Amino acid sequence: MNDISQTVANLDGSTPFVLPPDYFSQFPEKLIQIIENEESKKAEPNFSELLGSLQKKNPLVVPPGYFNAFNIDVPGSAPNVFSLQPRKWIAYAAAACIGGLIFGLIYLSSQQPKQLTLASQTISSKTIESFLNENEALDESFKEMEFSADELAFMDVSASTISELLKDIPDTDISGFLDQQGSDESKSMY
Amino acid sequence: MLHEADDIELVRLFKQHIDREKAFTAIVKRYQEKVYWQIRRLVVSHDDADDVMQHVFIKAWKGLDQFREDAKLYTWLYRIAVNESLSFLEQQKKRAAISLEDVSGSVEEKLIQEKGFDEKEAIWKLQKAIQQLPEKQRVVFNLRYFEEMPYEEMSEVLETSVGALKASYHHAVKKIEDYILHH
Repeated sequence: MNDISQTVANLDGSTPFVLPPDYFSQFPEKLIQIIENEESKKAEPNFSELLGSLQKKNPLVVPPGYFNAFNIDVPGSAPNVFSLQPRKWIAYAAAACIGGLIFGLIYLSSQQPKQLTLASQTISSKTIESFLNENEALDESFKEMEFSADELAFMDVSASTISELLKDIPDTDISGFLDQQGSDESKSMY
Repeated sequence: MLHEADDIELVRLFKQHIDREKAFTAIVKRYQEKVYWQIRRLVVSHDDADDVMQHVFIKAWKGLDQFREDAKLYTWLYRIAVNESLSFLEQQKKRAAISLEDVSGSVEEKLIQEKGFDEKEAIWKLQKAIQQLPEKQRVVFNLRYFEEMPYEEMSEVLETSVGALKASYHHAVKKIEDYILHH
């Protein structure tokens, strides 16, 4: 100690703490008491072992024939009946859905003619006349657009398309047409 | 007659369930003072020391059946005492952390509340200086300075190398010297 610190070496190494009188003379007895208490807590399972060792005989007696004569009459007690069918509210909900669907369809079908009527009522006769005139003009323009046989000859049409187009025309008509076309062409060549 | 028996004999009697309580009481009587002061210097208050003492000897009662006879009984008891004291201080720290209380302050408070405390007296100044040390250094200092325990025995109690203990003690003494000179 002197090597490390002269100051600490010179200090009084005694303990300044005080303790209750007779503490050490009483402590062992107190400790054994605590240990005994703990041991007795551990010993409690032995009591249940004692219970387990006892015979499970019932010392109480029942009058002879008691259980054979035992009967209870409950007035007006009917057994509960449980329906196996689906619950009523589900059936009601399903019926409401189907009804709604039918009503909706009827309503929609009744609305369509009304719309046409309404349309005819709101359009003026002048507008209808001009619409028809326009249609006529369109028809004429479509007629002008009809292709001649020569124009068709230059069109790129596949064999399958031709056979599809001619399937409803009888063979005699086709052969007649071809004969006629052939004679016209020969005439034009000479 | 039992108080004359050595430690090995007392442990044997305890294990054989012959005069089990008497054998244990003899062990308690033999080591209670040394164990008490080791605990008291760490926890300071007598009530705390008494609680820790009870835990130490109850642990000893429970563990004595497994105690190896080649080991030294007092070394074993000291080890239990140190471990119980340190866990007590650890629990105090946790409690203080929850209640936002300063632990080192609370240990010092306990020291100040001790009967006959006088800050100017060197004997109390030393105690205050010891309380400033880290816990494990405090244990080393107490065992060496007050108990004059050899480093080899201390090594068994604390399960630490002799070299580490010597270094720890040296640091502890220097810190105490520094505290005493500056307070």
